[in-house]
Amino acid sequence: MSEHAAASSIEARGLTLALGGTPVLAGLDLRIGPGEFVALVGPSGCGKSTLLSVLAGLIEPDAGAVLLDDLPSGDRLGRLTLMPQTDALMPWRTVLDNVRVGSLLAGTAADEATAAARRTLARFGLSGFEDHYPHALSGGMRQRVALARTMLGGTRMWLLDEPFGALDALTRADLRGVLADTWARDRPTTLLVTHDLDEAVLLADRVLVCGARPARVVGEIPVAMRRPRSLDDLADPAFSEPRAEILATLRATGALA
Amino acid sequence: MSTAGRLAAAPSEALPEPHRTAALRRLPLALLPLSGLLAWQMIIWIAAPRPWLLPSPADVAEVMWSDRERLWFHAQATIAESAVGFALAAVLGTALAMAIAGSPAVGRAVYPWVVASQAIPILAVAPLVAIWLSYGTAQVMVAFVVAFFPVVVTGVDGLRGVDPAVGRAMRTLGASRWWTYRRVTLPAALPTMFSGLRMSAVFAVTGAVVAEYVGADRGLGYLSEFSTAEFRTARSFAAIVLLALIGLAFFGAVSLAERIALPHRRHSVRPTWRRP
Ligand SMILES: Nc1ncnc2c1ncn2[C@@H]1O[C@H](COP(=O)(O)OP(=O)(O)OP(=O)(O)O)[C@@H](O)[C@H]1O
Ligand SMILES: [Mg+2]
Repeated sequence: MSEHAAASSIEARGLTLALGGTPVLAGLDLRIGPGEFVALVGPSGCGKSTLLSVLAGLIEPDAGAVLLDDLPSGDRLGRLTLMPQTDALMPWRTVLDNVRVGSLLAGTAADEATAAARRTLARFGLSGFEDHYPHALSGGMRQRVALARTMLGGTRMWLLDEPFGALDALTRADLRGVLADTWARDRPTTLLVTHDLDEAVLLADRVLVCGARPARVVGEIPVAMRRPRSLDDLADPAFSEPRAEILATLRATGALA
Repeated sequence: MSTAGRLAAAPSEALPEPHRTAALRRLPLALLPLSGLLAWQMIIWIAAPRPWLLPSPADVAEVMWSDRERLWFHAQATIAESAVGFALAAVLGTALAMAIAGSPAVGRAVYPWVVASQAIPILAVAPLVAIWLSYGTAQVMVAFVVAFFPVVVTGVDGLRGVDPAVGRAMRTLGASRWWTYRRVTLPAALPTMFSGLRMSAVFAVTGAVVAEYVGADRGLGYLSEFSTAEFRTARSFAAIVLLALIGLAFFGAVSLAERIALPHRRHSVRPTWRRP
């Protein structure tokens, strides 16, 4: 299970990709160390979701390469878990079955997968909902289920595409805590795409800023703040300074007035 | 009339609350057929047409009972033809829909012709089919042709409309292409496919009956046709009533299959009969 899988480093070298004639990625480089938490912010439509698809191995780039642990990885599909922008649950499966699927696909025995899913659901405050179908849950609860599925996927490389983008501020703050705890326990190599600068500085070791389409990394801002972090610390200079710097970088790309 | 009267007269204390509301909720369902029957009976009372022109509901009911063996014999033939035609349409139609949705080349080569085939008036072709094929086979064939189209169209729409995000997430969790198709794409398309199957089940009965009208030695369509020719109108009506019931039963059977296959559409929690 996830304890055995390695948290590898993820590196992109000169990723270039055009979709339907539009250049979306243009020589994009980035590196995420093993067990590091990196956030990626950038203007809407710049190619962040596309980048995650390429990193996950769902789309092959026109040029460039993705390296895991410094080795070129043509066949990496299934080694990095993608949590898409929508919750992407299967409405015909119960909460438990939706969460279990990740570990079952990773080859875990059925009863062990069930036990792990129940434990995780309990930790996420979803006990009692194991036999519910997703449509009977609130948006925040569904997102927790999706997060639980991602966690139990048996990989320790997570690509999270605006996992809390569709939620209200309160639920989002709550789930941010769940994600921070989970990451602290497992230490997976994580790339989080977000539009929320507070979320980026609260969660990440480092924040990458990507420019307007075609996407390239135009800025890199480290967040040197102790963990665990809390919403109350947002006024701390260790947060407010990198936050201001991200904002300035985004302004320079023309994404903000 | 009488049902409504009985309901109103029923002592309300005798029925526990949930049963009473359930009965009341069903009332609108009976409204239309009851008023239809009433209008029919009114025409009989007021215009008093000759029985062979328009039999009364009571006449039809009487024939349904007295001639039940003959009716059942013909009903069995129609049910068998429709069921075989529908089953063929369901299996082959779903297979073709999967091929069309799965391969752009097959889609371009075949799909426009499937749609164009609907421009052929089946009523005009049915007599030819009846000449080419033996009795029974011809009815199955026409039922199949009529039922095929809705299965293909809704199948293609359902499969093409599946949100790829779920399948992509599963692929990154290590699912194979085949697993994703079987466990994500097909289940996601199933609700749309079922609406096509429900339609096509009813169409299959209509198709079989049309083929019985133009050439057959059994079946309710055949019985109705020659009963009308002999001015045994009551028996013709009885056959039509039975046909409507058979159509409803086919529709109901597919709806039941859908309820069993897709419990999440009706329940918020996994129903007990689905628990391991
Ligand atoms: N299949 C496709 N065909 C053509 N163009 C595409 C396709 N998919 C994406 N694009 C283009 O690629 C660009 C990047 O899309 P992407 O979804 O990666 O953006 P994003 O940065 O994730 O945006 P958002 O923050 O709004 O989610 C978009 O401008 C879009 O027009
Ligand atoms: Mg996106």
